[in-house]
Amino acid sequence: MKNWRILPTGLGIGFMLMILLLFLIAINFSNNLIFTLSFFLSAAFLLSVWFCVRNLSHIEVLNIRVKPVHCGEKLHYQISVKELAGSDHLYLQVMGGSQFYHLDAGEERIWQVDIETDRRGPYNARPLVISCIWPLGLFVVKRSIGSLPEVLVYPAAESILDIKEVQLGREAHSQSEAEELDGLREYQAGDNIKRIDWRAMARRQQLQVKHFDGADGDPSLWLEWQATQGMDYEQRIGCLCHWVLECQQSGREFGLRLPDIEIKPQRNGQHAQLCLSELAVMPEESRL
Amino acid sequence: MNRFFSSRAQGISLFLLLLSILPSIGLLPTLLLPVLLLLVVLHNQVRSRSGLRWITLAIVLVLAVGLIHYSAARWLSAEAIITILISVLLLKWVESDSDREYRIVTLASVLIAALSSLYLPSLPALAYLLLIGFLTLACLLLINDSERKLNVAGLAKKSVAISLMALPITIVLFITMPRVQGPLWDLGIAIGLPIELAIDQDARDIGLKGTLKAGQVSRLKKSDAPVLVAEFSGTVPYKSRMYWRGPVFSDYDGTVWSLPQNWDKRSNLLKGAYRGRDAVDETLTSKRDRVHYEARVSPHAGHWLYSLDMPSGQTPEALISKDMQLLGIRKISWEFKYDIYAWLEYTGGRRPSAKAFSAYLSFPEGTNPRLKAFGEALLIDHDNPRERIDAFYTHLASSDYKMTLTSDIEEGMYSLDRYFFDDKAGTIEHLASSTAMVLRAAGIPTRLITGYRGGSLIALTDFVIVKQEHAHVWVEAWTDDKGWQRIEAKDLVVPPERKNLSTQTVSQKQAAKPVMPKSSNSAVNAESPKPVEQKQQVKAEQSKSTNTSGWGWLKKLSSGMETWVLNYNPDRQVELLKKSGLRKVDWKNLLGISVIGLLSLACVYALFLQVRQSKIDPVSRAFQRLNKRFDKLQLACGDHECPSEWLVRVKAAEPELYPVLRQIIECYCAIRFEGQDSSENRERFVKDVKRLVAMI
Repeated sequence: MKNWRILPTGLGIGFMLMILLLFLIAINFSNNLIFTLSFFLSAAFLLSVWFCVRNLSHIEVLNIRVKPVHCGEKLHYQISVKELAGSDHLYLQVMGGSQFYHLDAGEERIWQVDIETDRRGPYNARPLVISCIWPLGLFVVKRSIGSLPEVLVYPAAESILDIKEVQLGREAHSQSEAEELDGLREYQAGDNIKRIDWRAMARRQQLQVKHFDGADGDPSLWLEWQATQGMDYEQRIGCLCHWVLECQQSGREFGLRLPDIEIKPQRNGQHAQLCLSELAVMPEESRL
Repeated sequence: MNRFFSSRAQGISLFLLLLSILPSIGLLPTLLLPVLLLLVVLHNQVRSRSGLRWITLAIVLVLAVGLIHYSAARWLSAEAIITILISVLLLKWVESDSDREYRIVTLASVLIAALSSLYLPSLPALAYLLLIGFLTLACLLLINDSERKLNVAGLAKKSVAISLMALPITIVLFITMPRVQGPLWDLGIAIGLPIELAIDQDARDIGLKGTLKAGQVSRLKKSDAPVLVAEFSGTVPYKSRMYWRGPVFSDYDGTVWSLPQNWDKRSNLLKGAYRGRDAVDETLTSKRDRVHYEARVSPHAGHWLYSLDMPSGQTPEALISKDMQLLGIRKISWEFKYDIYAWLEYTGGRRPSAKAFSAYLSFPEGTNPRLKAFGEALLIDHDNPRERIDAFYTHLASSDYKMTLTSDIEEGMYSLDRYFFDDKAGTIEHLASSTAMVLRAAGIPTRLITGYRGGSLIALTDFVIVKQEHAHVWVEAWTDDKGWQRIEAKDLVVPPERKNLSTQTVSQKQAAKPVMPKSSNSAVNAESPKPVEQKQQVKAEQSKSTNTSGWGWLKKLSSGMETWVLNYNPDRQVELLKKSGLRKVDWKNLLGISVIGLLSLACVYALFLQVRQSKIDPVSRAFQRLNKRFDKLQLACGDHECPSEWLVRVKAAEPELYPVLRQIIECYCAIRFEGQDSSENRERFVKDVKRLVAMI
């Protein structure tokens, strides 16, 4: 029962007061009928807990999905749930939100739950709590039916400055942008989709991307912390985040230099995610 | 419908409200009801303009208050309170526009319905209140159903389900919950509130005085002002056995009993008083059933402490007078507290002086000659005083005397004659005075005792509250062999209300016969008839007669409802639980039984929850099983943990399990996250999990 919480609502407290008054009226007039009414309503009061518990029971969470977001955007959880006992479950609320969710008998459904974000960094795993006051609204019963996974919220991208191109020849590669095809290699996550050799795929039943000799490409970029001097601490992070996204979008190879951290230039999607993650977990200014 | 009501909640809350005021609608001032109903009809118009709303509501409220004022109803009368409540609640409904407010209106409607039900006969009131209870649940359900997931049938079904499930709990609570009976003032006084608080300003002067004439006690009976509160140590005696002794009269002039002049002078009080702890006990010839109690007496500007008959022992600041009354040494002008013992059954006392004897035997000259002749006839017919008393009892029991609260008999020299021989109906003063005079004429010294008999028992406690309505008059007679003994004529006279019953005449007479004294050795009061027994016999007769008719079962049902629902009082509760084997029944035991009953029902309801055993998804069940096994290796997958992350953790800790687990997790992710939830994949997953679990 550690996963359950039962509390009376404001209406429940009012209902208790009403029963108390009825009881006093019954005592004052020594009236058995009013005693009966007060006992009947007391019974309904107690039973409302039972109905709430029943409404929250026999619900199973199959899986939970969530996509990374930037600070200020909503975490969009997709919670796949299944009803197990063959009864309807009405007016359920998830994580204390105001939206009602319903689950029919035997139904499997995905609940969309949005949670606001107000800071960058890791959002720890937390209990997935469903609650309800149905049917009488006298008690709010909460039940933890699993955990929402830990999520990393990237910084909010702030378009304050254009990218300052820092090209240091000995460290940056040339971009693979050449006329001559060097060969094919196996597709890796993050590779430019435009480079997929669809014909080769048709032949060999696997994804392959074209590899060029890399003779005369655009030079790689270094996105540097120092380049954002003059801004607030969080603005600097936001600005670098914007640059990372811009580089990823334009397909340019880039590296990231942060205080004490250097991520060598690469170009695939995983690289961008790594850079964003490093920016997300940068310590707060107050902790520096 | 939708135009008139903005929501379903608004409609049903109004319906419940109107239903709740229906029984007490007659109490509303004539003009007020149409105004309130008009306001309900025009509620949309009133609510649309904020200024108009408040002005209208204020005007209607002022109108209600004004109408109550001019209807000459007292401000704290039931009519005034119900009128104000109904007006305020209807106005609240008119101005409400949220579900929260409709819920408040719903709850308040239940309270009004409870008060209104007091104006209905018993069985219709029961049906009415159950309907109100049912509709209250339906109303709350409907208000909560903001997204209209239930139609009318669904709503009714759900309400019925809740009501039916509530019935067993209701029955347990009804039977076992300690049945405290009011009024609430009595409870307050019992727990220690000053008695004066419960006495109206205009009722402070009433009470027993130094004189007594016909109708005086009967007037007191109309007041519920408390006289004293007694807390007994141990069992509380039956009400009929509690005589609270007040002024003792011996002087009678034919119409008025009076106390001697200066009787309350300190020297007169002390003269002849019983001194010492055992002084009274030593003078008693028989004594039985000693009780101890502590009492608080309300101030009444007299000396009487109204101790339980017969006082025994001593208490500070008080004395037992020669007339065996417990008196305060000073006048009781503030609440007085004492504790003392009492013998419920007694005979005896100090032999009166010759002068006192003549007072106890005096029959005022020229008054009530027929009564005197009747007494003298008893004296001639029976040598023994005991036999004269028995003969008098026989006369009372066999004659059809009635007791009334008021009497048409004019006060005068022959008023007792008229009562005893002609009207045979009168007040308790007529009966007691006649008894005293007849016995005096028969040569038996008598005195008249005023005081109180019985009291209001605070159920399941040891408290008894004695009120003015318990005022009573009885007689004490002196015989040489026993001394003073109580003569209770009232118990031999048929109570007037018994006449209302159809079949009681025979049974009453049958019930009265056995109480005739047969043995002069027994205590007088011990052989008095017990009204409770008589009533039981009457009921038995009634039930026999009902069984013979065609509608017997219906009457039986109705009778059962009367007995076990409408009249289920603390006595019946104690009786029922004692029958079921409980030895001692007090509020603590009852509360304990209530809690046990509720817990038992909670277990039953919990079982109901389990009956619909969940059919857990096989994939989830298999995954849980796998996780449980890894938990033993302290490598369980957290609720929040992505299975792929878990796999990485397992790889580092238990590399030999990694290849198999990887295969399983990949299959799990395919089922759960990649839309490959095929039966093949499921079967493969469950099978692989079984294998791995067996391996670990």
